[in-house]
Amino acid sequence: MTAPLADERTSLVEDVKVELPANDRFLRIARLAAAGLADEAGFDVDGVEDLRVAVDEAAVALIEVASPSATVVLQFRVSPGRVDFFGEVPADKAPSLHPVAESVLDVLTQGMELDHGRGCGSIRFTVRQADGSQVD
Amino acid sequence: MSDVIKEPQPLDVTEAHEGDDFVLAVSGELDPHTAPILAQHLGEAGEQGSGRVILDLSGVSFVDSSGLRVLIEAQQSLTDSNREFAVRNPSEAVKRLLKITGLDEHLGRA
Repeated sequence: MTAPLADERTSLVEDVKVELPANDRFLRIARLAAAGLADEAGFDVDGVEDLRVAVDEAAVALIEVASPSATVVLQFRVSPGRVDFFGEVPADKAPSLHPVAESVLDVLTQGMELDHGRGCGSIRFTVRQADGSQVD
Repeated sequence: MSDVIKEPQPLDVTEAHEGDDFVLAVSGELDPHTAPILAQHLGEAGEQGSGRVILDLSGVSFVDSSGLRVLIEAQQSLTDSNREFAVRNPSEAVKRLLKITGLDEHLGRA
């Protein structure tokens, strides 16, 4: 008898890396990865949507500052009820957020940092399952 | 072979008239790749008629801040032209982001 899928979700910390061309055509792939990993972390429906939106906004900000033909690297540390995200792309400056995007990420994430170093722009944040339940 | 695997349409916009109102029904995902498609439709709608421009968002499965910005800009542009802009039937994904950003209190509803 096959064990239920829920029992196969991660019970330990797991690291996942996704690399995409810095082109908004591939945002759907970033969202797909985020949704799958949120489910892996045991997020509920709202939590999955939170991570999907947050990663999309981060990827958009990275693509906007990306050097030509650059690759966006999205790294996820997945643990029960929590996903730590770090994204970076070769760029001349740190990514910036439109005020609407900033207001979205302020609500959905914790510990957000935008940075530039070693020739890359980067963004990091954490999304916890509990964060999503605050938005109804 | 190329006929077998086709990329799904990322955004579909259908247009209809309801009396004096111009209704755009949107389905798909609204992000920086697709938002310009909606912006173009809204711009064209603003040049037709004098009634309300109504955006039916029941078929939108995903929206990010770029999609919301199109709504904000449409409302501003139509208001400047003495036209009314309204959102109808927002999907759960849209309602959630409108609430997060506080835009649910600023966009017209139909």
